[in-house]
Amino acid sequence: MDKLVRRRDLRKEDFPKVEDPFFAEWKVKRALTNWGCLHGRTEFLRDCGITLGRQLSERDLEVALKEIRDGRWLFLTSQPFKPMRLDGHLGGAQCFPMSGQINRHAENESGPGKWRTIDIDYDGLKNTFAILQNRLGSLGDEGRLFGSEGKDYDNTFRIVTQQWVPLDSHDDHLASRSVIHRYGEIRGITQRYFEGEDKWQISGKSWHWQPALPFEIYEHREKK
Amino acid sequence: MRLWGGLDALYLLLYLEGSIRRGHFPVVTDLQNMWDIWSEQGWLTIALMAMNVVLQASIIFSAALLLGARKAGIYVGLAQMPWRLLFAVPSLSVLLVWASLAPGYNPWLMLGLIVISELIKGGTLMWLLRRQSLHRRVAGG
Repeated sequence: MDKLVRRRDLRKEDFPKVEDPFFAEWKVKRALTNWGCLHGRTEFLRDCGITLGRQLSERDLEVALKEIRDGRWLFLTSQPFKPMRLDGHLGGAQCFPMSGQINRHAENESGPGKWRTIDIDYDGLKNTFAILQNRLGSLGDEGRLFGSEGKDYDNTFRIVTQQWVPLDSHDDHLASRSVIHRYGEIRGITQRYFEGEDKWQISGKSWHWQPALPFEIYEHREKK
Repeated sequence: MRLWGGLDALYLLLYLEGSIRRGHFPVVTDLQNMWDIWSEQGWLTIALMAMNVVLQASIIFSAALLLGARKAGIYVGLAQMPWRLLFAVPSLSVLLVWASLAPGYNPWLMLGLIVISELIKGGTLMWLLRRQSLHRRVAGG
């Protein structure tokens, strides 16, 4: 059954079930207005200060949905349309569950799966030197604050740590093509910030971390 | 004192003129761009860049105070010095004009000139400070 939980009460094993707040909002709205199956509804409504046992007013609904939109209450479902990324980084661009969460399988077990990003570590000292050096080279740039263009961050580095995790229900059809690794295995990939090809830009280039790494990567067996 | 204030004012004017020429909204466009980039950077980098932004904002105050021959301007100017050295923001803002006209400039030579100009500025500001307090002591009898 679908469920509502407070963000602080979220358990690690439920991380893959969290629906992105954007999509959770209309799902919760539908469940509340149609009295569909929803675990934790009572506690959620009480927490929003809504009187139970009567039809929800427009105002009540707005208050409730704001809690979902702001991520204070989370909507859990077995097959989220877009699983929410969870962490504390600025802007939410690098959000991911912690490494301990995939404990459904024994630690020694291997199998098909995917690489999931679990941490990103910036080399603070090296990056500081790179940036100060970039600053010396940009003294002639009139009319802009230093730090407002990608080239000011040229040659900075970060290490992305990924962990081999089992496939989820929405991608387990890839199991037959996947290589086998031990679950929990870690790998670190160093990324550098520089200008590279970007077909989405008019100029064909953009400043970004390379090699580009999605949050989750599949590793397929080579065809013989 | 007014000379340094004038140079700070020149620095601000150069920024405004350059920003408008690029088709930007001064400060706002830059801050928006920075914010976008910061979403993919580490906290130390962000802190560094934020410190630079604070330094830039302080130049507005130092320009106004030094041009107005206010004593507070001396303190702001002195406080700026270590940050100006760290972020290579010369008080001798004409150096930036040279850098833009001669893009192949030697960055280490430029840094050296910035260090020397900051030392001169620091020296003159300290001298002004001491002269002001001397006058006050003499006037106080």
